[in-house]
Amino acid sequence: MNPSVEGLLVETGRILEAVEDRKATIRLIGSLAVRLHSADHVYLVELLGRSPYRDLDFVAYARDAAAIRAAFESVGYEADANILRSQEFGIKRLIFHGPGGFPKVDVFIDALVMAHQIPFAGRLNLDHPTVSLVDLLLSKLQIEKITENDVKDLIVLLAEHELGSGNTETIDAAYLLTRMSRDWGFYHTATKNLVLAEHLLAGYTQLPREVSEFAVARIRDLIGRMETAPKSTAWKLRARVGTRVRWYEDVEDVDR
Amino acid sequence: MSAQMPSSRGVFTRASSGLVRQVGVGDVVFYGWGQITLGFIIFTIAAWQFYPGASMEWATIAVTLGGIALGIVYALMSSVYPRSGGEYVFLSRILHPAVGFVASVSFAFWETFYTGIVAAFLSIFGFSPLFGTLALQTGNKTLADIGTWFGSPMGIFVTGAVTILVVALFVHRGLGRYFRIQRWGMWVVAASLVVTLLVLLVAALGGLDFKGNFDALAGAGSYDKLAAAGASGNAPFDLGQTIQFMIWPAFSIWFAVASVSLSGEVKNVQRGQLWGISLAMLTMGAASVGLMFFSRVVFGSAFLVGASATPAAQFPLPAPPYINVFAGIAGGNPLLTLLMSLWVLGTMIFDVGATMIYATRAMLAWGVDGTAPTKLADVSERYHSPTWAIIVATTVALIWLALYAFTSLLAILSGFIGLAVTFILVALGGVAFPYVKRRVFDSSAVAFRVAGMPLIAILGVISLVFTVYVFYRLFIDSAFGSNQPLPIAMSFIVVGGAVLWFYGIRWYRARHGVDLDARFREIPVE
Repeated sequence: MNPSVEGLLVETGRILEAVEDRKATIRLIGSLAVRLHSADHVYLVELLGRSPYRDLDFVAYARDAAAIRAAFESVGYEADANILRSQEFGIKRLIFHGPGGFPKVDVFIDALVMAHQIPFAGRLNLDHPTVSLVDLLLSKLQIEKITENDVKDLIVLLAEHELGSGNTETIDAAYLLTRMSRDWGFYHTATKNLVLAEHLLAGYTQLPREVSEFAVARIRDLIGRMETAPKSTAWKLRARVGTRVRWYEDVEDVDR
Repeated sequence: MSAQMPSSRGVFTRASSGLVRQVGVGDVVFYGWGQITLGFIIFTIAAWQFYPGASMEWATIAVTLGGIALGIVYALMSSVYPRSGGEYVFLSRILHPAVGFVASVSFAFWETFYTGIVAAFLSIFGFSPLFGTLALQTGNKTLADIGTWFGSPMGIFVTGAVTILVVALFVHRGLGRYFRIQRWGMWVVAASLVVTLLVLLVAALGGLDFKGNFDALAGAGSYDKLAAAGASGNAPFDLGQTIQFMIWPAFSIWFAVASVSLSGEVKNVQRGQLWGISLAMLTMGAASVGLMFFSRVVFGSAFLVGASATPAAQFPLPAPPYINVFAGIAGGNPLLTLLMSLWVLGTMIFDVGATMIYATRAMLAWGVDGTAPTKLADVSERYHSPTWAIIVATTVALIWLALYAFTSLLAILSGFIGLAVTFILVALGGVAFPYVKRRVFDSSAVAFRVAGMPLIAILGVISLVFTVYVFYRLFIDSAFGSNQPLPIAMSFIVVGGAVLWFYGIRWYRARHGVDLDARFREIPVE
């Protein structure tokens, strides 16, 4: 059983309130954050036939971890014992299960550590209640084994927001290009995902033509900027090795 | 780089909210190095005197190959049941909960025993010989006194206790931090080992004069006198003695399998454990063979046997007849002596950590399942490590250390019988797994077959041959010393006690409405 979007948004509100009552910082990330931040293009989510949202994702600082845990427990959530124990090995994650097991909530601590890393030190105040648009985009671009739902989120995000210099209504291009120019592995995965998004867009004939063309133009613009941005020495050295050596971290199912 | 159309492999298959595990192949290898404790080679070579005609090198190669077969069985089973806690997790699910619990208790009990004993060895085989050799090379009496103190009961206890407590502190601060320290420590160990092998190589090629250096320190003619006393060191190759000698390197190399206690946290657990365990055994097996070979070539086989067989009071040097002392003498330089001692000290210090980690993770798994007080599953709010399990393991290790340092009660006690029981049960588990859990096996990623036979069963049979043979030798090999009434009694008391405890707690939990059997029908939480 998947919770409804409305139900998840209510839960998000309850969680944000409980955390902020404890003077801690937390921001929404993931698919629901994309939806929340793309109000003008929510209809695309329906048109694209995106599967229902299954869980909630947040980001917080390590210094607030105890307050975050207390806040979740105060609204009826239970911390996942497996993940709590894994933290001694350096896993930067908290997972909470809502009353009756739903919804499942992931809280990334200080960084999103998956196929590639996205650091959040000092970045959670750039936007509210979600992480900044560029971090939202990076969180989708970093996925090595991307799902169609993630691609749809990517399309919605790029359809609504242009590349720019701010953080609340535009995607901070300078920051994105800095990240892509330092890390060849991330660049490779991101490029692959953007090309895949463009490819899939051609098949989404249910979308208004102008929206598709607009999204494709933004994807091409982004790829072009990523290609031409000056690269670090480390990037160039790693690029020579290419895909002969794995360029991403293995991401395992929590319930493996 | 121009963007290209990606393949569709992997698209739409990602599980949500995945984790990136933090323990990599390198960490598993280094943990295995800690468990293997290359420093044990000091008494392995000293024991060679009891097996005239044995080839230490061939015996080591054989147990390394047997160990890799056993290691692959461990790795495959732990990848089907990828949870921390060691053999307990998969044996309790594959064979029987009581079998898994007994195997785990036996292994954890003796691992904790060795936490204390190896902490004592650190002084006996590490610091005391180091300062003794430095004193010989510099003529400094203070260094000689320090070496003597490290060899005294108080020196053994204080050094061991400080080591155990410091290691416990780091283990308590979380294994992520511990493994970072282990990485640096093991690179130092590797560098020290390379220096030692290079010094021995130079000596073997005639660039250093071990015999001359030894006589200069011990008195003219001392080397020849010891070599004459050890003529059996030059006995012709004897296959039977070689096979019997296998018990010694097995006591070290096979323990790399204990990394299964971390399986819940190992990155890509099947590949991580397969490579980690195998590489740990291969690298340390090769290092052992190298040290054995060069020891025979540089110091002389007859000299090694003669020196090992000479009573301490009659040995012509105020330092023990260990290969680390001889390597220092061959190098003829205090700085080289210091550098060459680091692999002995390092492997012993990290064995204290490795054994403690194994025992505490086993206790944590028992606590989670309810086969032990649930307090053992409590983790620190701050560091997320199992506080009570660490306190228990540390306390027990300190007691063993004190008994070893201040009494002669444990002088002949070996835990290899109890540990070998677990190896045999795991080998049996490997043979039985494809047949008693056919559906689980067939649907698993380890359902490899060779000529129609499950690979894990074939490797289980090979492991059984090695482990049962070593188990048998433990009862009749007086040189190894575990065939005394006390070690045998202790080993069986631990096993018997574990059986009684398991059925007792099962009954107790049932009375409180907890069905332990149901927990063993599923994979436990970590």
